[in-house]
Amino acid sequence: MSKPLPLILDCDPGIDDFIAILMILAAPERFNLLGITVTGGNVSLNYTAQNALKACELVGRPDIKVYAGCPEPILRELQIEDEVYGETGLKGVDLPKPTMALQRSHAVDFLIDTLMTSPQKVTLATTAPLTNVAIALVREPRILDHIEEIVTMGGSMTLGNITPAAEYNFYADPEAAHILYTCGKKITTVGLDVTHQIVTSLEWFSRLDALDNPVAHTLATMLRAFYEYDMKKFGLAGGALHDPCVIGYLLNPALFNGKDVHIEIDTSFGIGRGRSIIDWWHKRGLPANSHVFSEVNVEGFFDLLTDLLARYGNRQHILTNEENT
Amino acid sequence: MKKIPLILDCDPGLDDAIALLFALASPEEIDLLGVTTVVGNGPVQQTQENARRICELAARPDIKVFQGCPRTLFAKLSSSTYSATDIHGETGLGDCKLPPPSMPLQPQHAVSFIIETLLNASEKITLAPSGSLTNIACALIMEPRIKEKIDKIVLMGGVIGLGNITPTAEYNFYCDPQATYVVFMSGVPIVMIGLDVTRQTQTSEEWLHTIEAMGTPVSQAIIDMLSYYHRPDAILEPGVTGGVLHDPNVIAYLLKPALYKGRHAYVEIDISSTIMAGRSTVDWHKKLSFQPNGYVINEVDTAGFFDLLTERLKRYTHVMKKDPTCSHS
Repeated sequence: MSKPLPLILDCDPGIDDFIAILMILAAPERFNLLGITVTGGNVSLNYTAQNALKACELVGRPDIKVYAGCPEPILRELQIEDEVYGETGLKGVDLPKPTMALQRSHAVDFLIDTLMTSPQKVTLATTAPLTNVAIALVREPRILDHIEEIVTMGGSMTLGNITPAAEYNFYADPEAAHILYTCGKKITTVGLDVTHQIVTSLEWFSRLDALDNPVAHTLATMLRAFYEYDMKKFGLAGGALHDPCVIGYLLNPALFNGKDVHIEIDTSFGIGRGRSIIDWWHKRGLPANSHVFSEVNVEGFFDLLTDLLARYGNRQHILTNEENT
Repeated sequence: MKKIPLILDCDPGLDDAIALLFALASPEEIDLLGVTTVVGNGPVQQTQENARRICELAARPDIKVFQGCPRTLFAKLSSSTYSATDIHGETGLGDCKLPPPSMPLQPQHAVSFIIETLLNASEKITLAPSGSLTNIACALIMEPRIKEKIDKIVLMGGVIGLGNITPTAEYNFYCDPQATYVVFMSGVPIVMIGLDVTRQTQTSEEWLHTIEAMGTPVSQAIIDMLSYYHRPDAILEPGVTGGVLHDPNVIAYLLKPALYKGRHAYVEIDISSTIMAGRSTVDWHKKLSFQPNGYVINEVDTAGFFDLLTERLKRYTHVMKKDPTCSHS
């Protein structure tokens, strides 16, 4: 069995980020989570930071280091998404106020210090507006030499979800997304084209209920409160689990299919602002700067997610599990 | 007089170097908390080394120098794409051959230093950037609460009229339009000293003779730096006959604001990728209804500027190489 993957998660919980954290912490034999960095995004930084702490405490991991980062995007005021996620970002549940504290360092300092001193290359998973990562790249571009892979939830080949053209994470900070996609490293992109295939259903909620563990129950309650929005707004069959796809990919890349292409982020102030222009058919002849997914094995993904959540029914199992490698 | 607590953010660079000497010669007015450096007139490794060289030349190895961002936000400047050697020479200091610095570089990143110093400050601090605004923008993005601790930002950059790197844009703003946009939209009071002003402070042969006549290591270094502007193949803007002392205007303004005239105006930075990229559009005649976000300088008392600069540089005559406390009248 290989060693756990050194991982940093940059997120803005948000329900789907919350699930991504639970997935990571359910698989300690696969992930060595060096820290969680949060940014303002789905909701304001104050809430995203609290929600990250709540996720860690919900699964009994107050030892996880959580760092608050940039509260606002590079250029413009943050556009929060409380219509979707509720004011606190965790609509539908009232988790206890966390007792664990945020780390004192700024997320950007943590990213730079950790990457520059890590003995092994680190994987960076991002599920939020990319402000923290972009500022780290501007301040210390050499961090790229210490990164194994950057997996980003963001963008869309087809329609957007925050504007007709743009997906939320890229739209919230297009300049940061531009900085990431021009950094010289090939970015693994998990966009709406795949995440809109990963939607919750009443049937899956029943599977969660049947798991009979408090973590799965909390999650089911949250997701029931949230899934109708996507059905009404986007005509999806349920609520899209965007951010968990990033962790699903890291655990089982075979679930996803895509290709190497060039992406450019629209940083204009026109109708296309924040759009990821994905050159799927290589019309522009530009070198690929991303691996972009278009397909996902939906059933396989939900089996993986359900199995991970089932582990919370048996804490001992989490700590000793050796399957799923 | 109460001293101005100041952080100088620069990219030396010939005129930055003179600005730094100017500031270090004015300890009664300026409490220099630190010098932060950024990519610009050279790669950041070079600009921080030059900042330390200048501090040592001024016998101030106690000054804290920090290395900042090695690239601008959209990487128009990076370690491989800086482009000002035609103006500032291979070393960034023209023909001035100062020894490699022996004073230490501070281990902290410039952006972290700016944030930490401001957050812990008991009084408001003035920022004086004379390069691309990348460090300042990163600090504002990471920690917006620093805004409350900034007295004002007195910066060299932008232009009301013609640009110098493109027909529309001034070099510092052009290199990082996004960072400049962040600074101008921050709500922090800004004094903008652009090309309209700095072109009024060009070195003359006569002034160079005055400096040369001082006969000190500092005056010699300045002559070596500025002769680079006066060399036969120097690339000068149309209408410019000498070295334009852009950055020293920032220090002169801090020391003696009465030398300058301007007005409050709305300034917006063009962050498009068009021919206007990096232009500072100044609403001088209040054609738009936006609130002014900057005090834009357009006039300087040229003779007064050079008198002040000359007077301060003369102070280096007296063994400042040996006396870091700079006690002089």
